[in-house]
Amino acid sequence: MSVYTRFLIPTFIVFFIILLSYNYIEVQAVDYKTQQNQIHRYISKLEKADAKLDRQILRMDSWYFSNYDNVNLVYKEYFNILDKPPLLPEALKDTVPKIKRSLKAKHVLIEKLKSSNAILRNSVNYLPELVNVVDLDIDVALGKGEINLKQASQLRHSVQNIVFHGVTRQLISRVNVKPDLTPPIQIPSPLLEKSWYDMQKHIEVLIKYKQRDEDLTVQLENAQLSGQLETLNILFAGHLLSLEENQKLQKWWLIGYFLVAVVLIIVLFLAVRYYRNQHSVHRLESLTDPLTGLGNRRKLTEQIPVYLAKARQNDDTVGVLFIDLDGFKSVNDNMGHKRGDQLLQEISANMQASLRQNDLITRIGGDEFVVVIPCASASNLRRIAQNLISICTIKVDYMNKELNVSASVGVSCFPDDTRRPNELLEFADKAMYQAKLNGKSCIAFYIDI
Amino acid sequence: MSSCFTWRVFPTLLIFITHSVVLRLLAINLAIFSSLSFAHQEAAITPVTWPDSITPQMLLGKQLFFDVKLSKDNQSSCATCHQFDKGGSIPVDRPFMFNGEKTRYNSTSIFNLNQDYVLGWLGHISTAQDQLNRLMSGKNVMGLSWSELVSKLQADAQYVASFKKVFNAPISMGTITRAIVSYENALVTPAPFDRYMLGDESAVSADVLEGYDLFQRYGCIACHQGRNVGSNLLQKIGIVIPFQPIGKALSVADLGRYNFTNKPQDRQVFRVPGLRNIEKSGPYLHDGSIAELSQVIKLMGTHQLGRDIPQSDVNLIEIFLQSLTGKVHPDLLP
Repeated sequence: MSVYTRFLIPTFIVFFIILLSYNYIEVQAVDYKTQQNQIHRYISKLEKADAKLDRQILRMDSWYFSNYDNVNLVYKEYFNILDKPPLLPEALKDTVPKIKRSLKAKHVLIEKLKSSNAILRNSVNYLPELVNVVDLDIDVALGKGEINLKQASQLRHSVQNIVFHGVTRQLISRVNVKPDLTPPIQIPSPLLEKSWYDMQKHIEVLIKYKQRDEDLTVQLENAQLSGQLETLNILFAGHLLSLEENQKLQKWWLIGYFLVAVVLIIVLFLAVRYYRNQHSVHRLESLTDPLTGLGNRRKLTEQIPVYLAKARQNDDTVGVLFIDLDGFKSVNDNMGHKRGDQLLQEISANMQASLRQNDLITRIGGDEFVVVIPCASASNLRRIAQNLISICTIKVDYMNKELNVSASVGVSCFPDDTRRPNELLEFADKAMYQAKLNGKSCIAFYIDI
Repeated sequence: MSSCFTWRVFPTLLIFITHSVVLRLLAINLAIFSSLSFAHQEAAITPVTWPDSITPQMLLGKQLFFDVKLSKDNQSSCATCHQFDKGGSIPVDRPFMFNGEKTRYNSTSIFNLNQDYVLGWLGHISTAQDQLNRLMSGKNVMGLSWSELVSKLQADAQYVASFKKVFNAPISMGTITRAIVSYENALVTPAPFDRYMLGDESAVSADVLEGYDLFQRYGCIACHQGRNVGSNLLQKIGIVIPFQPIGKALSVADLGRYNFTNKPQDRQVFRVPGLRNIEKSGPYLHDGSIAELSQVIKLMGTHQLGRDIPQSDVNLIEIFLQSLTGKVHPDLLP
C-alpha cells in the first residue's frame, strides 16, 4: 500500500462521515419545519375558533337569533382543539392549559348569558301583548263602570310613560333608571289590578335580566381570549427566532467540529506513519552489529527458529558454523583496536560476499561469528567452512613481524545433531572448541566428537 | 359587543303598535315584522334525520343495550329504564336502582342525545361516554363494576367474536363504551314536524301549526329551541313565580345544579329538557312529579312565563308537541 492510498482512504472516510452528518442535520431541520408548521396551523385554528365563538356570542344579541345549538357546537369544537395540542416546545407548554382554563371560565359566563338571554328574549317578545292586555282590561273596567274616563286616561298615560319611556330607555341605553311601576291611582277593579300587577312583575323581570345581560356582556368582553392567543403567537415567534439563531450557531459549531476532526485525523495519520518509519529503523539497528554491518546475537536467536521451521517444513537440513578467529587478539594488542576493527570489517565483508543470499552471517562476540546455512549437505558445509577459513586466514605485517590470523570452525547440523535451536548453537560452540584443541585453523563436526 | 343597537328596532315598533290600539293593525304589523325577520332568522327548531348508515359498531351496541347481562342479577338492561315505546324513558317518577333505592331524578330520554352539550338534569355530565362511566363505576345502578362486566362478557364466546370482528380488539371498558355510545348517538327520532320543516306541508295538521305559533308566541321557544327543542341551555325553574313543589318542601333534588356546583346562583337551575317524544316520556319534571303533559304546559306558563295559558291553547300546544314524537331507524329497533 503506497503512502498516497494510505492517505486517501481516511480522507474518503472523513468525507463520507461529513456527508452523512449533513444529511442527518437536513432531515432534522425538515422535522423541525413540519413541527413548526403544525404549531402554526394549530394557532390559526385556535384563532379561528375563538373568532367563531365571539361571533356566536355577538349574534346572541341580535333580534334574529333564535337557536343556541351553534353556540354549543362552536364551544365544543374550540374545546376539542384545545384538548389536543400538537407537540409544543417548552416555552409554549403552559399557555394552552391556561387558555383552556380561561375558556372554561368564559363558558360559565356564556351559560349564564344564554339563560338570561332566553328570558330577556321571551320578555321582550311578550311585551306588546302584555301592554295590550292591560289596555283591554282598562276598556273592560271602563265598560263596567269601575273606573271613569279620567282614571282610564290616567292609567293609559302611565302605561305609556312606564313602558315607552322607562322600559324603552332601559332597552336602548345602558342607563339604569328603574321605572316607577306603581299605578297612578288606586285601582278599584280586581281584574285590572291583576293585569297591572302582571305587567309590573314582567317589566321587573325584563329589567332585571336586561341588567344581567349587560353585566354578562361586559364580563365576557373582559374574558376574551384573544389577548392570550396573541401571547401564544408572540411566544411562538420568539421561540422561532431563538431556534433560528440557535440553528445558525449550531451549524458553525458543527463546521468547527468537523474541521477539528479532519485535522486530528491527519495528525494521527502522520504520527502513525512517522512511528512506523522510526520503528523499522530502530528494529534494523537493534538487529545489526554496528561495526561490521552483519547481524548480531539478537538477530541470530531470532532467526534460527525461523530457519529451523522452514527446514522442518521442507524436510531439509540447516548447518550452523561457529567461527572463532585465532590470533586476532595479538593484532588488537600490537596494532591497536582501530586496526583490529578494520581487519574485522574486511573479514566480514569477504565472508558476506562469499556466502549465498539466504545464508545468515552474524557476529555474536568480539571475534566470534556464526553462519547459518540452510539446504546444505555435510560435504557442502565442509567446503563452505574451508572457504571461510581461507578467507579468515590473513597475514599481517607488523614491525617486520608477521601476525597470523586464522579461524577455527565448529559445525553442528539440524536435524542430525539436534532438533532444538538452543542446542544447535551450543553444539557448534563445542565443536569449535574441539577444533581449537585439534590445533586451530581447522574444522570440527559435532557429529565427530 | 354592545347590545343597544339591535334592541332598538323593537321598541320603535312597539310605539307604533300601541299607539294604534286596534288589534288588527297589530296583527298586520306582527305579520310584517315576522315575515321580515324570518328572512334573516335561522330556524328556532331545526330538523333531525336518521344516521346515514348503520355500522356494525352500532349493531353491537344495540345488542349490549338490550342485554340483561349488563346487570348483576341478569334482570335489567339499559332498555329497562330507557324504553323505546315510552320515548326512551320509563313511565315511573323515579326508577329503582340495583340497590333498591330510587334514583334522585326522573330518567331522561335516551333519544336525540345532544352531542354538543352536557347531559343529565343538572348538566353535569359532559358526554355519553362520561355518563356510561358514571353509571358503571357508581356500581349502584346495574350492580356491576367495569372489571366484573368485562369478565362476564368475556365468558360469552359470541361476544368475544363480535368484538374481535368489529373492533379487532378484546372486550374492554373502552370498546364496550364505544359500541354503546355509537348506538345511543344513532338513536335519532325524526318526527312529522321535521318532515314539515324539510318542506312537506302535508306532514302536519293545521292544529299543529297553530300550536307551534302559540308555542312561539307564549315564549316557550325562548328556551325550547334548537335541534332537540331544548337540551342546549341551562335555566332556572321559577323565573317569574318561584317554583315550589305542590304540597311539600323543597327537597335536595329540587335544588338542581346547586348540588353539582355549590353556587347559590345555581339553585333550582336545570338543563332545559328536549321536547322530542315528550308525549310518551312522562311523567314529567326532574322528579317525575307530574303525570299529564297539559299540566306541565300550564305549570311552565305560570312559573317560567308568568302567564295563565287557557285550556284551548294548552291543547293546541300539546298537539304541536305530539307532532315531535318520532321513530328510531328500523334497523336500530330491538
